[in-house]
Amino acid sequence: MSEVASRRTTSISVAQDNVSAEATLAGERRSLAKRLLAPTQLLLVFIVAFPLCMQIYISMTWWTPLDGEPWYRAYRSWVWFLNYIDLFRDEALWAAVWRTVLFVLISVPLEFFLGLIFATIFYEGVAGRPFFYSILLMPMMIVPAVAGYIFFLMFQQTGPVNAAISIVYSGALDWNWLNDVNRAFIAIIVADVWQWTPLMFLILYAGLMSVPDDQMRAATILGANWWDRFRRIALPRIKAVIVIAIGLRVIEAFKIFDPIFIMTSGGPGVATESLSLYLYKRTFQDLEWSYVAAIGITVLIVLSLITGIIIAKTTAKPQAATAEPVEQGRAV
Amino acid sequence: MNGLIIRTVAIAIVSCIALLPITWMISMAFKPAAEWTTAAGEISLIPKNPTLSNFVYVFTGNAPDQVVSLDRTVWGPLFASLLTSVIGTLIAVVCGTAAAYAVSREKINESIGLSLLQLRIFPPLAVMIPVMIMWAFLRMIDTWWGLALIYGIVTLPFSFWLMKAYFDELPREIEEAAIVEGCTPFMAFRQITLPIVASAVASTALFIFILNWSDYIIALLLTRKDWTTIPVYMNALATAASGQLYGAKAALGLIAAIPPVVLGISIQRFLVRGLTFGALKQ
Amino acid sequence: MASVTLQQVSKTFGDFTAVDSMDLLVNDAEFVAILGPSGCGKTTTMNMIAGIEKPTAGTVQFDAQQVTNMPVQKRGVGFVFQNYAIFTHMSVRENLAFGLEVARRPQPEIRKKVEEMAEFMALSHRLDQPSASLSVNEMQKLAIGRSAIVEPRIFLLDEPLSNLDAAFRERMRSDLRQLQRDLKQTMIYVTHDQIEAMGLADRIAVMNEGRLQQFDSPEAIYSRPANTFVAKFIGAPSMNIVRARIHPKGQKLQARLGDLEADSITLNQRQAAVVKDKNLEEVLFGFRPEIVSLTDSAGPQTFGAEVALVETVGRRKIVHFRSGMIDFLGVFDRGERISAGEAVRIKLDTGKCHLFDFVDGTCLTLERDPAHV
Repeated sequence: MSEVASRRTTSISVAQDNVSAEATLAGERRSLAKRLLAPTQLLLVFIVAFPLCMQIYISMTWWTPLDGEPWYRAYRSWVWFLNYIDLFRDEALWAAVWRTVLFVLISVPLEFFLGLIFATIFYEGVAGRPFFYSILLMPMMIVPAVAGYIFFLMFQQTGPVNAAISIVYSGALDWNWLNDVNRAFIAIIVADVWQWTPLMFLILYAGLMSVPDDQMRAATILGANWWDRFRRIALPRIKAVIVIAIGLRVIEAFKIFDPIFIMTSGGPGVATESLSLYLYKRTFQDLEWSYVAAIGITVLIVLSLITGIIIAKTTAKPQAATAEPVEQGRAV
Repeated sequence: MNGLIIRTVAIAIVSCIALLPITWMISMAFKPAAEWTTAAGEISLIPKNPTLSNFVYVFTGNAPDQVVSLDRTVWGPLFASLLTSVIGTLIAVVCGTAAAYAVSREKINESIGLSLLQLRIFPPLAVMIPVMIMWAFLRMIDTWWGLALIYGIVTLPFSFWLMKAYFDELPREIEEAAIVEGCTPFMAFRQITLPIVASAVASTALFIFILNWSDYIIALLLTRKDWTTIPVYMNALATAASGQLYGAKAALGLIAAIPPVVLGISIQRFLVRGLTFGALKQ
Repeated sequence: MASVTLQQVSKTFGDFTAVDSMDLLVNDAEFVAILGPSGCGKTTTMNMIAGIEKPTAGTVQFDAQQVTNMPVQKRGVGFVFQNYAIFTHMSVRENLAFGLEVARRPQPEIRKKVEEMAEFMALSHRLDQPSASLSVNEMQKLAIGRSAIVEPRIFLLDEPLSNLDAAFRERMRSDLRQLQRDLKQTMIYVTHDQIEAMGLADRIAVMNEGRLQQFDSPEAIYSRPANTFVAKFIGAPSMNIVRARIHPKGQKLQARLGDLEADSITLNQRQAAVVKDKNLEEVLFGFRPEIVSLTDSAGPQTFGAEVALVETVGRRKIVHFRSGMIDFLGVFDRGERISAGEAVRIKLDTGKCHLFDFVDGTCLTLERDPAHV
């Protein structure tokens, strides 16, 4: 009798030990997770939270490094929202924004369609696939600043672009691409399309490869031609991939700086001045740091709103429609 | 069969177009100063008198066909690019992997992922004012640690999201088994999980190295002279006597382009994953 | 709705011959299974019938029409994939309509046909649901319906039951059989599972190493295998095949299974005639485990054996016997009293035994005209 009782108490105490062991284990794991997360959080505070407050503060002053005052004394030229009001009336800024949007609206669709065409050709099959694949990806791997310099060379008056056009277009050509308002803009787009079509190609090709093979074959046997297969089977399945590819490119193209800075420095005049170049000039030529800070805050707000809306919209969609293609992509 | 030939020819033409600009830069890098600019119609893709003098010039500061010697050779920027990219990569990979593991396993602070993504969305020039002030205040302008630190931070989103995707795929049971065997959670992470994802960490690191190496704007803003990286050095290279140093710059461009192209091709299979923050796999 | 004729069809991939000079005639509305181990060329054969692959040599005909070089889209075949290849991003209706849509048929016709087909396949209540939500047997029906709606001339099915669990497979098998009867379609079905083939097909084409081994009804394949491969491949446990020497005994001939004279079976007249005719000294002697029976008397046609092992599988007992140098299996009812180590006497029904050529394994006692194979 007593033996049974003592056995029972041991079993209870073992159970309690287990519970507490489990509890400590969960606690240990949690504290490990917190410790592992700490460096990143610290860096985020250091580079996001603190600078953000600083930027908001400076954006409400007329402080510039020319004042000779340290930044924390910027309150001496406190102006409330004057910088923000100014930027809404800043025609040069809005022209730069519009130019950037125009650049995005031309180059990203071009990159997308070219990338899609190449990806489709690849999907249908070419000889020497791995070889051509590596070559097609190469432009994307060139340092963007170097790509800018390459196209600076390409578009020289006596450079290869003019030479190539003059083969088709009889007679020697001496267009001065980078000094012509319209041609400079075209040159920038050509450089961007050259460098980033490979990215579209890469992502879209991966998307196409994730379309189940036997679905494509089943469609073929049911009598679908190339276009039907593409439009009805492949396209709906790579929708999510397309959204990701275009989204990435829009974000990157909107930030464009390096190649323009090297090819034209925004010129001639302001013909190729993107938002980033405009900000650069206001920062380093005019040293209007508080004004640039205000523009920066405005850009942050606008971009956060846009991305917030996009994220909300894509995640709110019915699961079946959006989740699956991504899964398909993951499967490969 | 016929279609295959047409498609292959089409892709071959596209490949030529893709390679032409690169070829032009390579060709320029091997052209003597006399061939840098030509009269219209005399253009030539292959150097008539190929020479190494452009490379000699940027590496030693003097070349037979250059009158003015360079006050700074490529060695410094090459070292600066290498050091800052490597240290930046280490910071990003170590912090990103640790954070990704924490978020993937314990589901704490999941919003950290989105805040990190925002780092990639905003144009650097829109948010650099306070960073420049801070860096100046902390005496980190034109230092290798200042540049490496910011490189580590701006590529953190990539390492975080890429490693999180890998950890999410890895079944928890692997660590649980180790813990049952008597490991502490940290030992399980250190001795079981990390070795399993080692190759993923390596791919991520190479990918991030390419990104850091390819930077131009941050180095332009945060370095002045001692620690400028190759792209900045390349674009700033000019001497009054000879105007644009086309060939020398092309040689620098080639030096800057080689590591990312070589590494990029070697991690080709990883690129889709890398560029899409782990959302797509190939 | 069409017969299929393969004439001397071969397919080689580099040095490897996947299918070797295959002749096959599938009648209209017949249900034929192509059966064989993996790598035997059955899938290649079907792909050539479908037009997914082109034969290296030989011709393929549907009815009297040459289709050897016709691309897959034009052949009018229905193809059901192993995993059904349902377009999971579409609704059931869109799946069914796909073949008609890409043929640019008028909408009212598409609507009508889709609804009829859904009715026929008992999928009407599911029409507007996402096809990803279907159960596995609904998916199979959808896959068949999607192919049937374009009225193909023949139907090809690639192991459609292989990714189902055993219990479900049983039901799907009878569903499929019923469907074939209702559709009155020529169906060719590829499988490596003999039970499936035996249960479903009107005729079975057994293949091995790229060659057609036998093409006959399931009954004939089981009871009159053309060679040792078919004999071994069909039936579980498979046929016992042992080497036997021929010895004369009086007027008759005996097949000596082991080394002992006592282990001999006297051949029946037909068997003896074949052996005499060809003047054979050695044959392969085949008998199914099912015809092995035990006897008490040590009379003729019996021999002694020792029970090595007894396995009970479901309602059957599978017994491993050893007799001299030979090992063989016998199948008995679960109720049979037999245990390991026992010495027993075995009796075989000579009429149900098969003699195979010692060298090439062809059946010597096959009644049918060999040209028919």
